[in-house]
Amino acid sequence: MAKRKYLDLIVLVMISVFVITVSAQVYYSLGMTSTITTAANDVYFVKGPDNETAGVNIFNDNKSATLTLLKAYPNMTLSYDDPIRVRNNHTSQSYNVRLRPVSLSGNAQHFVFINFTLNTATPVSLNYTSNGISWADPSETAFVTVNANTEYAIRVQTMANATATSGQIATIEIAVDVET
Amino acid sequence: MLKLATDLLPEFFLFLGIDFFVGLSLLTCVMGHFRRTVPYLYQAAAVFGYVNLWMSRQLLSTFGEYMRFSYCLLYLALALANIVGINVYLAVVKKLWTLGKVFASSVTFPTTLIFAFFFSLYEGEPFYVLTASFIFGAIVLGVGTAFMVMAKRR
Repeated sequence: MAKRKYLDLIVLVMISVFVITVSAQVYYSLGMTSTITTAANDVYFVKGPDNETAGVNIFNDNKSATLTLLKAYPNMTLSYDDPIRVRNNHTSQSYNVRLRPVSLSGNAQHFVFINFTLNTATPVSLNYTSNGISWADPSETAFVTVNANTEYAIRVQTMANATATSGQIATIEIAVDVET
Repeated sequence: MLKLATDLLPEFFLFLGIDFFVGLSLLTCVMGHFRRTVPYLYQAAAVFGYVNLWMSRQLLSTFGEYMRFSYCLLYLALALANIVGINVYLAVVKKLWTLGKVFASSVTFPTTLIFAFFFSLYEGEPFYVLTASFIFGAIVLGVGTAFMVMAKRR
């Protein structure tokens, strides 16, 4: 009788250890489970008042844009003050954004600089400068706050070399990174 | 300032319930006042709790937090009800008053206190009065057990 009880106890202890161990593992894995839901973006591009002169075309649900009519005149700074804007459409939540260089192509000898400035409370810029031989690639800007329900202009400034000939092209791709 | 971690998942109650059932299974086996199948039934209840826990993880995005909390709390309440039931069975049906009192002070009361403690931690600030009473209860239990053992040895 006592032997049977001991056997029962041993079996029960073994089952108990197993059940508690696997339960603890499942509970621990629950803590590491995260649910990610897709949602519409709150921050996107909108056209500014100077969009026509800069040739702004916005697509991909306002998440991508091209500026195809930007000019650069020899030895003269040309400024497009408000061709395109970054809008935070959320009613209450602010976001942090930054400008990040992606790619650059074009002959450096014809240009002096091409600058992109996001006019937030603390403006941040990507300055592509040329020494006449090669481009100096900028690094990404610091994150700046874009307040809820607000739009911020991206100003573009260009200057071509004094000896630049007409029809020279530089193509720049930049990204706007968004974080909460 | 010392801050308690209050980010408990609803499944913690399920895990606590499994522990209670496992403990109950071992106790009923050791005590010898129950049929041989009773400890195994409690083990089955613990395994059922594990299956619940596993399903909860698999269907995490389907079940809302309120639903998860509801069935986890129900399972824990069931485990507590069984502990109280065993206590009543020993004291009333079997008329083992002393064993009933010992069981109440060493099993039923601490498990109820543990339940109340974690229930108060879930959602919101920790309830400091309950935390203090939990620590006080543990001290009283420890001192009481020590006195009981010493008195028996004399």
